[in-house]
Amino acid sequence: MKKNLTRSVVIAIMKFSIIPALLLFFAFCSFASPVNSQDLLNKKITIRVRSEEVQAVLAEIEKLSGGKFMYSPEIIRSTRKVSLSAKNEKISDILTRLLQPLAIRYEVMNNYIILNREKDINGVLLSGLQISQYNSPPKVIRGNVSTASGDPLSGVSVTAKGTQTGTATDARGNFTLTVSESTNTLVFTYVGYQPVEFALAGREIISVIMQPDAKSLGDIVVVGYGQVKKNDLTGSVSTISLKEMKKVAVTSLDQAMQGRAAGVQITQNSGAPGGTTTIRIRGGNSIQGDNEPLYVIDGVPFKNDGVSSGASFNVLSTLNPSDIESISVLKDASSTAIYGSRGANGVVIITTKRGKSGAPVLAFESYYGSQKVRRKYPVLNGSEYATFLNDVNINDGRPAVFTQAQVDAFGKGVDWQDEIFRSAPMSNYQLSLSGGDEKTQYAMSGGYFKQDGVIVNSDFQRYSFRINLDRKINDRLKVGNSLSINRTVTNQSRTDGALGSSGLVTIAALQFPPIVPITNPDGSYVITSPYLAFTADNPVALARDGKNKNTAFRIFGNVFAEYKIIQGLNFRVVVGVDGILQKQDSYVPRSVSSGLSQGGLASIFNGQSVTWINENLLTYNKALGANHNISLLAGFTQQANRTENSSASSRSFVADNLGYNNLGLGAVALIPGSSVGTWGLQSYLGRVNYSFKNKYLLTGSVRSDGSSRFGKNKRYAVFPSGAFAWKINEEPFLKENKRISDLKLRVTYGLTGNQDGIGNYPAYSLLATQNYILNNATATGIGPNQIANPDLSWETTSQADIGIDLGLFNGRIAITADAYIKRTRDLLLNLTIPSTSGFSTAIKNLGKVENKGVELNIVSRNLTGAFQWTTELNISTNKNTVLDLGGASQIFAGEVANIGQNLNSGIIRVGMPLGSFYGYVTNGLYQSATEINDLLDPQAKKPGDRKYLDINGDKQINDNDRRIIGSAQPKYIGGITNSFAYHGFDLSVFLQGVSGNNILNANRFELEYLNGTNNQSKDVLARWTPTNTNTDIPRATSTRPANRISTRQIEDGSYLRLKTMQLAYSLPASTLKFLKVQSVRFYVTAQNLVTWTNYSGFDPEVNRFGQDSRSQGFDYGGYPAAKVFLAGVNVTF
Amino acid sequence: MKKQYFTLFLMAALLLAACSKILDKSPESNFTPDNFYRNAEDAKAAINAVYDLMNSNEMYNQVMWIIQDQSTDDSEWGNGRSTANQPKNDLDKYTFTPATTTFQSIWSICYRSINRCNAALERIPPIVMDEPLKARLLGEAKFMRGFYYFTLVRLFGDVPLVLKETTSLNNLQVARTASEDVYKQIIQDFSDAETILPVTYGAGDKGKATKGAAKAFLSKVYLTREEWAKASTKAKEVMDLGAGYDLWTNFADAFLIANKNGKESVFDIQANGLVSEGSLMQGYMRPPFDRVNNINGFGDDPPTQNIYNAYQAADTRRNATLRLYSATGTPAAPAAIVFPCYVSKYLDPGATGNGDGSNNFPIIRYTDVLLMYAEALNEQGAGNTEAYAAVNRVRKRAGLTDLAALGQSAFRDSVLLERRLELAFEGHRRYDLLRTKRLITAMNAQNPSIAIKPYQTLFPIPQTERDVNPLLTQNSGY
Repeated sequence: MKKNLTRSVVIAIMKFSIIPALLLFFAFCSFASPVNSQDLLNKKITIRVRSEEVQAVLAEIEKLSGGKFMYSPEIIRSTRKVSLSAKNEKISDILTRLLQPLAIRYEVMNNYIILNREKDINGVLLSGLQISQYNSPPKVIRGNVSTASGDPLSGVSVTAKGTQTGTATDARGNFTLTVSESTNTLVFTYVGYQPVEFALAGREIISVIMQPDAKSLGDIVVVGYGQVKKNDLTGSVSTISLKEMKKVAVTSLDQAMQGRAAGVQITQNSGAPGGTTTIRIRGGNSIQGDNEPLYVIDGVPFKNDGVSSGASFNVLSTLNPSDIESISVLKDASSTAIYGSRGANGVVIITTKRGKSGAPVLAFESYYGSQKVRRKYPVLNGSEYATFLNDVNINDGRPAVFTQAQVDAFGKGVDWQDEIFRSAPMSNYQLSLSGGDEKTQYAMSGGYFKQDGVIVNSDFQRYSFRINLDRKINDRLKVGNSLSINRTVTNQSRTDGALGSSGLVTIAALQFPPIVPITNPDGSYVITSPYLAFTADNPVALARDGKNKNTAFRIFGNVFAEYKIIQGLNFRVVVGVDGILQKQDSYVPRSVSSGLSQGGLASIFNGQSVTWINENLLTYNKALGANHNISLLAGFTQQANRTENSSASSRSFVADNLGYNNLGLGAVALIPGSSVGTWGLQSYLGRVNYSFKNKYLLTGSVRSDGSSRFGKNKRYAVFPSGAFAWKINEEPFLKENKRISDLKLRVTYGLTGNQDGIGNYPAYSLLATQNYILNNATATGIGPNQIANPDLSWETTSQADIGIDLGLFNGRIAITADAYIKRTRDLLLNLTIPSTSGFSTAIKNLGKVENKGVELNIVSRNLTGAFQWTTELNISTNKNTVLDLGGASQIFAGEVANIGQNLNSGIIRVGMPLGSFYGYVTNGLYQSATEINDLLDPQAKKPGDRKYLDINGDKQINDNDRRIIGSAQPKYIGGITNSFAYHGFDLSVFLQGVSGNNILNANRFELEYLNGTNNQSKDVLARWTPTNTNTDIPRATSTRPANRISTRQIEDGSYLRLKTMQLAYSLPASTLKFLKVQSVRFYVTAQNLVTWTNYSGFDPEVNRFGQDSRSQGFDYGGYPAAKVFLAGVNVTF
Repeated sequence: MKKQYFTLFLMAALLLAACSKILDKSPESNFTPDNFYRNAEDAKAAINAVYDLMNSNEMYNQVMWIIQDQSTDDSEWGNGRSTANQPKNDLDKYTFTPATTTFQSIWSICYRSINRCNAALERIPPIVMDEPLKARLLGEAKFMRGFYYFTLVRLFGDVPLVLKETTSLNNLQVARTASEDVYKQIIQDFSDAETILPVTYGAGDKGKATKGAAKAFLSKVYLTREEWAKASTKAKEVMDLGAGYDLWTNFADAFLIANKNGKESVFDIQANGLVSEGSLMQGYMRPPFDRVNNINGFGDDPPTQNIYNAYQAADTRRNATLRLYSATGTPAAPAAIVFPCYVSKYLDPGATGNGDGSNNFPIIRYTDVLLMYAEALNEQGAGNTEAYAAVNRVRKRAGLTDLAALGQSAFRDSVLLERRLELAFEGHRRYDLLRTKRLITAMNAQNPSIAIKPYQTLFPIPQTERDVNPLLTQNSGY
């Protein structure tokens, strides 16, 4: 039965897929030819004995197998007799059958099969790695290995010098090793630390302290489908220091990466709890397509895309940052090409914590903090607003609205910002347990995180659970899993909306007149008032009654099995799944105008997305002689996704209080919606790493991807890359140099692709619902909606990188510098096509974008004595240029809105960077009627109106007088961390900043409109009057000229921020011993403590358009950033 | 033991490797041409789609108000109202340029609809289905294609004439066709529709293009082209069709939700706010101070004093069409508004949301046919009694006295005034002023400061279109 199944499966594979079949064929071949003594056990023999002494049977097996048994006679009670019959069976199977009943276990060492009792004399289980030498009586050595600061080191390899006898330390740094009487020295080795040779001198209980090996800062680096020693890296990979990252209290891991890696620009789009970030690794390649990196968590790749607004839900927030073991950011093509069609934007590889053998380690981590708004927007108070309103009316020839006494009586009025902002707590609790024995390791954790937002009625909660298991089934087979289950609940405020749109909490709070009370005498929220020209949304009602909740449930994990076919050749199969269930509930209440006009609007959106992945990887490592080292990787992977969404909404509710919980209560049901999206990716990948004399390193990789998204004509593409690295310090002329401890030159080149951000079916001709009303009822209409493009294919990015790694003064200073140039061609552009076709846009492969830049990363251990001081600095610059737009010279982007004259705020122009702002240049105000007459500007009426530069000199101001007025792309980004440690205290100061970018502060449209319908920025106190003409704030009038997007709204977005400052104290070993705990660490942290910026809005980190590359740096009603103070404790038991 | 693990391991790997269909993902929640256009139901849905966009914001649910009312003497933006909407200002004050977005909106919406007509005309014929039904559906597609081209040619003059469905990204650049040839196609399409379309529809299809609508449009096309005899013939055919066209007793009744698609309606754009296919007029045209069911309006399309004063006091149509409000009323209007008045033709007291009116937008009412008939007859010779009968039928209902014994020119002026008052805010004013070459005079009479240059009577070809299609020439003057 099983045989049949196997056969049919093999046939099936031959039919469907050639490459995996070849892979497996290769595996079978290797399996049949033992090349190593380890494979002695796999040798097949035929033996038949009846009632013979064990010793004789063993002798027979020795003869047949060519191996030798080693055992002490008392293990085998020689009188015992056994029978055995085996025909062409593996020695391992025979031995198991023979020895198991005798409570004897065996180990193989070279050609020797060593027999042992199941338990040693003291009843201590012998480790699988321990090989006793039986010619002299054994002794047991116990000990502990720790760092100079007393932290236990787990996983340290402990061997008796000159033998194969060895073990490893457990999670608490403890070990027990049985060695022969003659052993005098133990050797301790651990990656990243200097090896220690410890002379026993008769002691049986020892304590070993290991010093970090400065030469190998960073040690092992996780790369695509594998890991390498940092020394052997040929590509450009940034690793993020988890120790520093953990000092930041964040909702999701992307936020914690900010400022930590050179060339990685991370912008928090919104201050909302659970809000999104925009990540650009070495600049944005794509105009229309996705520019976010590929995330690979425990081998499961996914994209955090589709974020259209700063306040959208962030998928990354469903993962608990405390579970992370390592983060690598792959930047150059040599590192990312192995991810082929999804590698162009860089790859972030994240691994989660796994168990280590040893006694269970229980850890508890918690912090509690408080957040408050970093900055309030200065707006007029009651009296100032009343005066302003009087001015508006007087200027328009009408009587003043208020007497001076009334004006004074308003006083401060209502500070609407105070009404919607609050001091908000945040807290985090995490309990984790890990440990295991030699064969099974486990790591599990549970966490709860809650962050209240600084705007009332906004918060984020996460419940997380993780379990990672590893099990060694036998010498060849290892299986394991990663699994995380998380639930997040986000209550979102409505912020970051379209220019001029209603219902946004923050902009409403800035605009609502301070002279209007919050509630009417009957307790209802004020909607109408003589001082509200339009029915506007009461910000307090909006914040308190408006509901916008996202509940997400994510199951993320994989199972894997790894089989050692022969020494050095491993086959790994991974099956993973990423399932996201999401529900978005929203209710616009009748207590605000936008809800009132619909009688209250409730909607529910349900989405489920399931991605599965399968990876089959074959790896082979081999040293050929002393000089050549080669490692090979071949793989076949496939991944597919299915996303199903549905939505329903209704309106006209009798009352607000049930919100979205019962759509049936709405008198009017709106048309429900649902959709299905699917995509699939099938890939073959291969990589060769070759090193010669450990001096010259070569890497070549290739991936071939097939994607369901593209046209039938262009479905597959190949992404190759190559890298060369030269360890110059290994050359004789540098080897003895005392100052230069490490010097490596890297050169890489390769191609990567992008296939995201264009939907699932961009190549198809699609029809859509186009309903009409017939006989007063809906009549289904269906017609053309998308034009087919069978030639649609990938965006391809070629990247060349040159870098050096330099270590000075025995590794005290480590410098990594890279320069790169990237060119992306065949951009997936939604191109405007003639409307006469019946379509306005179509996606084509057109255009080119270039990014080039320089990155520098320096780690300097300034002081290493009792007082330690380390500085980590990264700084990078990127220059982005649009080279070609498929023949067009420019494409408009950004916001188009009535209040901005329906002109686009942004432009994409050949020769300029993405994210350019486009508009008029203001040069002050008109001061006289003559000035107004000199220029024909339909918007200028009187002195005191804003004046614009006549750029084309035609004496009139119109659309042709616009030009590029700023860029959202920073010139420099960077971060610097200074860490100090003295005895148990450590202090870390982290500064992060960007420089040279602009922000379009669209709030100014509303707050400098001066027409007396809304509250205004405090700046309008300096407004133009016939007696106050030296100003750049226009006059107050109810017939204000239309607003123009101009340099008035463009601001410098540079900032430097004291992002994190943490002071911590770890209890000393003596106290710990007394408390019977492993470690205790207390800390206090301040985040966003100081921000140096000239930006006048809430915060310079803002992106109303989320990850959209075309329209970066746009601020309209953003969620303000918070200052955070928190205190925490980490305890390990 | 180990062997078994390995076998299992391989099996797992191989089973997964066998999923080879992974790259064949076709849309599951969208139709594609491959799995649609198969039967009569599909054909009907394809036809419903050709009507759809008339009821979109880019057409009769907003943009057309700007084009047809804002750009005439009937409505003026500003005068104390917010002037933030630039395209509206530009249409209003004739400061528009080829880049003004309104032009792109109407241009692209017409061609999108035309492509749907072309798709239906090409995809439906091969379907095996009831032949008379098929013929009727094709007739509807032709009617609507005629309608969209008639809109384009009147606004822009020469326009590209596309009569095939677009299925490929190649050869998308098309040159303009002389308006004479565009008109030929329009007449062809309406004539084909006229012969095949039914006089009335069964209940389920109420709202579709009828024989009467096709004839009325033909009359309008001929009127526009000053082919007076043909125009009067077609109008007369509508009147004699036996379709039951008649006038409601009261003018205001013609706009009641309850009387939708009633006897006075020849062709309407259908709307129903209760099923999310609403019209915006009831919400957008009322001012913010006017609340019905707690829903405030937006004050779009503000009427001018000029049209208000054009009504005689006895004219019952004035108060049905326009409503005054004041700074001293409750609630009060801002004092800054020079002439506080709004269009009250499209009220829907049952609307539950601002964009959820159930008001149809009348494209051709029967009174329009009567007035076209009167006008066409008068142009063929003064003193035609049938012409007087037709116009007086309209006047009588409005509570006005009969016209009598006017000269040809005076009769022409009277009919035009009648059209303005009877069909106010129904999208006719601009076309009427254009074809009678009175746009400039009328605008100056309303606001002398608005200076229309003669070339501005034709709108510019949208700049965006010319940017992507070098074959498109611009109208002279721009």
